Amino acid sequence: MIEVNGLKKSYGDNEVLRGVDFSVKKGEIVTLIGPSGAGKTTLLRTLNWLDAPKAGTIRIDDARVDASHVTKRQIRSLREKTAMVFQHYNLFANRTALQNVTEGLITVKKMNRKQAESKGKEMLDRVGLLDKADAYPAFLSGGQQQRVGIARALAVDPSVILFDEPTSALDPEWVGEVLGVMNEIASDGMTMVVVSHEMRFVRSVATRVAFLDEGVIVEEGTPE
Amino acid sequence: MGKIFDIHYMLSTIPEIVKYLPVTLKIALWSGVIALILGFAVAMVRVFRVRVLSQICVVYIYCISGTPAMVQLLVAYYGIPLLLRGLNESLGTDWNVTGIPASVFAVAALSLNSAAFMSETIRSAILSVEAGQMEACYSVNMTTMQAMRRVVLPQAFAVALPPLGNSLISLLKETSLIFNISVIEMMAAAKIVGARSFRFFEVYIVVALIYWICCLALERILILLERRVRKYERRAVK
Repeated sequence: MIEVNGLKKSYGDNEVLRGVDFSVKKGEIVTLIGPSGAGKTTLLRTLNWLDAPKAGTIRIDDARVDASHVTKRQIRSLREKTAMVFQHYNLFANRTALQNVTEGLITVKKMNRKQAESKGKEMLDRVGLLDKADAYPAFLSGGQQQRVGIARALAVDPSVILFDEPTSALDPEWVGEVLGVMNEIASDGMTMVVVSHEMRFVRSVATRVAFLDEGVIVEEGTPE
Repeated sequence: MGKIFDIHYMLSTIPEIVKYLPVTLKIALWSGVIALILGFAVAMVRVFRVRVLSQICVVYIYCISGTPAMVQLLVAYYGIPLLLRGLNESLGTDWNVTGIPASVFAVAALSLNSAAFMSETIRSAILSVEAGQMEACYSVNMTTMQAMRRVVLPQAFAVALPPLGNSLISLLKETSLIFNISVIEMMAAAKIVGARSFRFFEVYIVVALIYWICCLALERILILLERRVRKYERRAVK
């Protein structure tokens, strides 16, 4: 379903990805691990083009992008297939929890407000936050914000959800609730690519682990 | 010798001076609206680094912030007619140069002046919204324009509002300069009234009071507006 070939990316002289080949099948839960600076987050962020690679190809379902000649339309088709959960949540600060979830539905999917809100509430319910629908992000705990972030990602019906260290900014007491939600999504069959240091998640949920070092995948295998 | 300070005379001049308050407010309002629109446009040009236009905007801002408002007013008053005359002669057009009311030059000069400062306020407010907000928009496949309109600009507006409010208040007060280009507004009215009695101090006190009341009202409105637009922020307990 995801197919990445020869992906290269550098910041100035610093080569972060040195030709990554990587693929994910539908329903797989792949965890990217490796030492810091190995390029895990960068690899994840190139998949929805938040970082532009300088060479290589990315295919997600029928969306195909070649870094050497890329169009805006291709980037948007890639983003249509993906959604992301950020390390620092990045909830829209000026929108309530519910509006965070419905924003993409209304502006991008052109759903009418009523439909969007009922779907948004369904998603918030799924992450256990229906009672916080009208709260602004600043009034939510870290764990609650991250669960809204997950609901926002789920709402747009992506083929794959990209998780960028979703628990590493959280206090230990909130990690459990976020991992719980991620486990549930995983058991529903969602395809997930997760950058994580969270060995609990890696061991219990991941179907495959890819180990990155110095910009290449050096080893892949089951969590054991 | 009469009284040192004639309060009865002062009070009696209020109606005559207040009569010209609408002129002052109208010019301030028009200049404010145009300055906000122009300032926003300049800010967007600079944020998106539009080629050529962006450089022109930088030069514009330097020119405005490096010269006094009074000088800009006089340059507009004497310069724009000359410019139009020059255009008439070189293009063979027939614009009426002498028929333009002075208040138009006043609005032109004041709004160009204020827009330069506002554009910097708006630009820095937009840049103050963290990149993660834009990335989150992209992650749900919004376009840059959708992201600006729905997420970034509303947050930037909350940041920009207090300094923009200050600019509007300055603008209101700067209208007191435009009697210099023969616009009859409050300041000019006060000069005329004062010249009849040679009691200038009293009439200027009246002008000061009226400006003061207007600024207080404007500040009040801005505070209410600010509360509304910042409702999503958490405040520390006092």
